Amino acid sequence: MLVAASLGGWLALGADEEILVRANAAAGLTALLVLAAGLTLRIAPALPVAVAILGSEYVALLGFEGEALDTRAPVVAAALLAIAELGYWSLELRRPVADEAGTSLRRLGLLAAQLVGVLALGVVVLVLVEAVATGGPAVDLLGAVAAVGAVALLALAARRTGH
Amino acid sequence: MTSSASPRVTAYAALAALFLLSALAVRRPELAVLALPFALPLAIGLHLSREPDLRIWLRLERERALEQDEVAVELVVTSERPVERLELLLVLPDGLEVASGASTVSVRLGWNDERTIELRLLCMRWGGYEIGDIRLRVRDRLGLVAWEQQLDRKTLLRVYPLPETLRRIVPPVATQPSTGNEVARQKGEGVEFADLRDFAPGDRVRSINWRASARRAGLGSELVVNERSPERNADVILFLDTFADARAGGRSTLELAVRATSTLASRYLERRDRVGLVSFGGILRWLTPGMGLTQRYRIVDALLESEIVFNYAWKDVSIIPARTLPPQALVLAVTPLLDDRAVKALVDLRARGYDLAIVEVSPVPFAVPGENEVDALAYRLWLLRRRELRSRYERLGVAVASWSDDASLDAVLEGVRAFRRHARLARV
Repeated sequence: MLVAASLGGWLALGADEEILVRANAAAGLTALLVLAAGLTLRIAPALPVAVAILGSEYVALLGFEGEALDTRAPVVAAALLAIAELGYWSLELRRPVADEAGTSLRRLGLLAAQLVGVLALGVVVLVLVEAVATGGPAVDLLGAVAAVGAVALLALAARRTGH
Repeated sequence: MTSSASPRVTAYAALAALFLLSALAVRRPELAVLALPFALPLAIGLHLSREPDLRIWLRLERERALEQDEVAVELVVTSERPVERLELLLVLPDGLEVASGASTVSVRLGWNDERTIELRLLCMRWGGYEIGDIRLRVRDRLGLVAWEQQLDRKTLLRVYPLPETLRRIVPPVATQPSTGNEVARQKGEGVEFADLRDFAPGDRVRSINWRASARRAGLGSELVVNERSPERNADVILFLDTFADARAGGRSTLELAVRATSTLASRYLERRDRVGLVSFGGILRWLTPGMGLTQRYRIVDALLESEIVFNYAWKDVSIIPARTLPPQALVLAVTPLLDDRAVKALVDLRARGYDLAIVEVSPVPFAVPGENEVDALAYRLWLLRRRELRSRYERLGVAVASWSDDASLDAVLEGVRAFRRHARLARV
């Protein structure tokens, strides 16, 4: 909740236009409410919805303001991952399972490694994008490949679920 | 093992697709970076996930325990491959509780690793319990895929009822020829003094009562000898009524009846009596009379299987095998007197000349009088009917002692003994 509130606030205050500040603040508040409801009522699907709403704040920020490459993207990506992972962890902790000693520390370490990896990979992607002539076919190609990859992942996940 | 994707697989795939499509729509590559933390773990995690290969054993500290005893249970898990998170749930039947440890645990296993999970179970109620229903759930490192399995490692744990304190038992009227602890009514070789009689040819000199003979010497009488009562054993049939029971708050009359029957069986067997069991109810079970420790275990094991089986079929004592009810046996019935079939069967046994005594496991504490007038009246009528039933038995010369959880069985049986000292056998 703290990470979500910080990210929502940061993205709202990061906007220059008044209307965007208000819109992002409203979106951040909505995301917080959805997240709180999901965690309290143990509704797992509420977590990605909250993450998507927070992500939409950043989409709006990029869509309406700023033309230069935004270097905050890796931080936002890491924050979104942290919100999702901590949210699922919180739901798992509600189950009456006695964990052996060191489980929480190990999981925290894994999450930290994931966040560092996301930050590093995000920086690499941004550097690559900056290096390649930005705009036009390059971005389109990257997007198209990524979209196809996402669809492939969805199909893979669906196949796993069907086992 | 059955594999299934965690909810986060769908969620992460949807988020990754959403951010990538946003990147295309807004034409901003930064949004593709947002998709990275959700797309990459999916790709890597799903690719690396492998079905675990686990072996699990369940060990019980012992196979027999008493109520309120604690029994240690060990779950041994081995795996050749690493397992990031293994959740184990040992499903416990009603009547057993976890005293220490946890029945649901999670462990992490490395290469060729072995773990032993220990917990202690508290036996709350007597019964035969099958322990070993184990549910497994294994998660991969990123928590994307879960494998589930239900294992059956059934091991039987017999929990015996706690014995009631019982110093004296109900003595039988008739004894058997074998040696035992009961002073017989007949006269013969024994320890207990029974009577005096005139000396007869063949009497042993050591049996002459010299003091009594000297007193009679002036009266011109012969020598007088002591007569003694021999110590014999008896046949005791424990008649457990399993037609119906009354339940409230996790307790039942059957539970009390089994405890009382077990205690009585132990006490009579300690006296070297032959004890048999008839469990008369929806299912008829019986044990022919026997002696010793083996018979004690046979009876208690049979009692552990006692249950109320609902049945409309009319049953009477004629269905009980004749060798289960030897003549001149003391039949000690433990019953809540709720079912007419059991009530009639006991009357029938008495009519056939069996020495009968009844320990009524009172269902009254389990019944709550209704709040309205009609219910209260029905409750009073029910109590009156029960009292009339007891009077009917007493008119037949059958002692009925009402036992509930708050009284000791010893005190209740004292009432039976007192009644039997003065009761005459009625003609039925």
